[in-house]
Amino acid sequence: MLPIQLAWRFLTEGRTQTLLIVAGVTIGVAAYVFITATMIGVQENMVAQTLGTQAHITVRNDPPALLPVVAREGVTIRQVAQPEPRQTPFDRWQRALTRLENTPGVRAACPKLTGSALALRGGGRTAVQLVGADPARLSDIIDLPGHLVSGAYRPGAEAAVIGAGLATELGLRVGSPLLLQTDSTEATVRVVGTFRLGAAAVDDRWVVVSLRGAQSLLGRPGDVSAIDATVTDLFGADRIAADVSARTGLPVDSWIGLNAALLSALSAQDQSTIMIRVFTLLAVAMGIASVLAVTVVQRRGQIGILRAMGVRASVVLQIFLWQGALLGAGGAVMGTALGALVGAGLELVVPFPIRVDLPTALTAGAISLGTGLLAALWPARVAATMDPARAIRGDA
Amino acid sequence: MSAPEAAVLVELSGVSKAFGDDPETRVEVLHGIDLEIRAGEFVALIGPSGSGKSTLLNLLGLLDRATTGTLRIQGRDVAALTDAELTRLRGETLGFVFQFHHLLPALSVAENVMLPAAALEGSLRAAQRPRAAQLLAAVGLEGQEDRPAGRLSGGMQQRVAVARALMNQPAVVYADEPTGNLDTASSDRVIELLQDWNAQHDTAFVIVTHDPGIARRCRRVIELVDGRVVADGPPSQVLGPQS
Repeated sequence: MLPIQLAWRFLTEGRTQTLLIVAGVTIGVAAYVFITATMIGVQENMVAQTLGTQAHITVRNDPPALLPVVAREGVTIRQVAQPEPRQTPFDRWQRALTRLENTPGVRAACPKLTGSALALRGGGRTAVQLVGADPARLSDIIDLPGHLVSGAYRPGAEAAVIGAGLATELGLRVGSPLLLQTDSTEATVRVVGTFRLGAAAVDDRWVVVSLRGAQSLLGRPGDVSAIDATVTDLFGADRIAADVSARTGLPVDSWIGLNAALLSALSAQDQSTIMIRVFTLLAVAMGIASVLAVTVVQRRGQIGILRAMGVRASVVLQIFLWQGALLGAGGAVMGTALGALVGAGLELVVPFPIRVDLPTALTAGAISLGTGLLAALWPARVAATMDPARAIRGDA
Repeated sequence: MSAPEAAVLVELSGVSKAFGDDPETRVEVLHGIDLEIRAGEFVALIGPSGSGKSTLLNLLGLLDRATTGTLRIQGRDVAALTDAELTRLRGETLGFVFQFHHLLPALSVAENVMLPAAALEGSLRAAQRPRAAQLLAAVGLEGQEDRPAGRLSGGMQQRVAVARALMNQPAVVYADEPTGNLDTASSDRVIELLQDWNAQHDTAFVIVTHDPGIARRCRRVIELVDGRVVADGPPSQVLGPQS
C-alpha cells in the first residue's frame, strides 16, 4: 500500500505537472483510439461494400478433364481443335452442399444457377444476369430483402426481383411483365420487387428468380452452376475454402483470392496505421519517462529520507512504477473517452460507423498502462538504486 | 557500589572508510575508529569541516558501509547483513534528524511522522496516527497534524523531523546539524526537545554540530580531526572550561 499511497501523493502534489502529462497521455491514447476506430470503420465499410454483392466462398463445378490425344498406329492427326465452350452439369451438387454445410466455419450456403439472358420490354432490350436460387438461402448470402426499394422479396418461377437500375432502364415497376429470352427458351416473368445494393454490376443487370425458374429458363433442369456460402471468420475464408475443397474435391474460390487488390490495400493501410500507433505511443512513453526522470531528480532528497526511514529500495522502485501506471491508466480512461467522442463527431460527416469497441478500448488501456510502466522503469531504477547518503546530501 | 553500565548499542572497532577504487585518487576519510555508544547517552560529534563527521554518521546510521573494521548494532555485525536487512534494522533501531529537515511536502504533518512506522508496516495506517499525534504534542505541535508539511516554518519543520525520528522508538537517534538552519530560539527549542526526550527515555542521541554551545549541552563530546578521534570525554575535558 505504501508505494501506491506515496505515488498518489507525489502525483497530486505536483498537480500542474501531473495534469500536463496526463493531458499528453490522454491526447496520445485518444489519437490511438480514434485512428484505430476509424480504420476499423473504413475497412469494415470497404469489406461490406465488396461482400455486399458476393459470397465469401464459392464452390464451383469441376468439369471432367479433356481426354488426351493419343497417337495410334495407322491414324494421322491432321488438326486438333479446341472444344466448344459447354455447360457441364454440376454432378451431385447436393452431396457437395451437404459437405459444405458440415464444414466448420461455414455459416450459410446457397446453390444457385446463373446464366445470361436478354430482357425485353416494349422496344427496349438489354442483357441481364439471370440468378436463380432458393430465396431464403440467397438472402443469407446477399441481403436483398434489406436493400429492397419497392415491392416484396418473393422471387419465384414466374416472379422476379430485379435491380433498381435495370428497372429504371426498362421502365419497369412492381407488377410489370418482363420478357426474358435465353438460348433455350423465352418466358415472361412479373416484377415483384426491386433492390439497390449500390453496385452497378448488380443493380443494372440482376434478375433474381427461384432456382426452379432459372433451371427452366436456362434449360438446365435440376442443375446448379455453383454453391455460394458465407463463413463466420471473414479473414479466414481462404482456410475454410481449402477445407471445403478438401472435403468436396471441388474447386473453391474465396473472396480473399478474388479481391487480392483490396486485401493488399487493407494490409498497406494496416501497416501505416501500426506506424502511426507506434509513433504516438513512443511520444506518450517519452513524455511519461521525461516527467518521471525530472521528478526523480527533484525528489532525490526525499528519496534519501525515505531510504533512511527504513523504506526498502524495492518500495522506492514501486513508488515510481505506480506513478507511471497511474499516469498511463488515467490517460487510458480519458483518452479512450476523448477518442470515442472525436469518433462520434466524425461519424456525423462520414458514410460509415466509427465505434470504439471493447477490444480497442481494452487494447488502448493495456498499451497505455504498459507504456506508463515501461516509461517509468528507468527513472524508477535510478531512484531505487540511489545511494541514500548521497541523496540526502543532494549530490546523488 | 557503582551503577550498572548501560548496554552498548553501537560499537565500532578499527573502522575506516575510503572513497574511490583507483589507488591514485582514493581518499581515505576515516582511519581506524574505535567507539562505543551506550543506551541513554547524549553525545556531540564535533570537528572541523572535512574531518569525517558526516561520513562517520552515515556509517553509524547504516546509510553506508565501512571499508574495513567492524560495526555492531546491538551486538549484530552489520557487515554480514544484506541491504534489505540493513534497511529493516535501520527502520527498527535508528532515528534520523537532518540539517535540512527533508519532510515530504506531499504528506501532512502527521503522515510525515508516521512514515518510519509505515515503512516497517507497509502502509500509512490510521492506527499509527495516535502515536504521531502524541509525539507532535511532545514537540509542541499539537493540533498541527493535518497541515501540509511544506507550509510550516523551518523551526516547526525541524520539530516535526524530531517527532518523526522518534516514531519507531529507536535505540539511537542521529542528528546531523539539526539546528544548522535555524534561528537561535528555534535552535534552543530543538535541543531542549532532544534533551527532554533523552532524560525521560533510554534513547541515545548522537548530534553532529559545529556549535560549541550545543556541544557543551551534551554529556559526552567526541572530536574528530582528519578522520581520527582525537578527543572523547565530557565537554569540559574536550572543549575546556566554559569561559
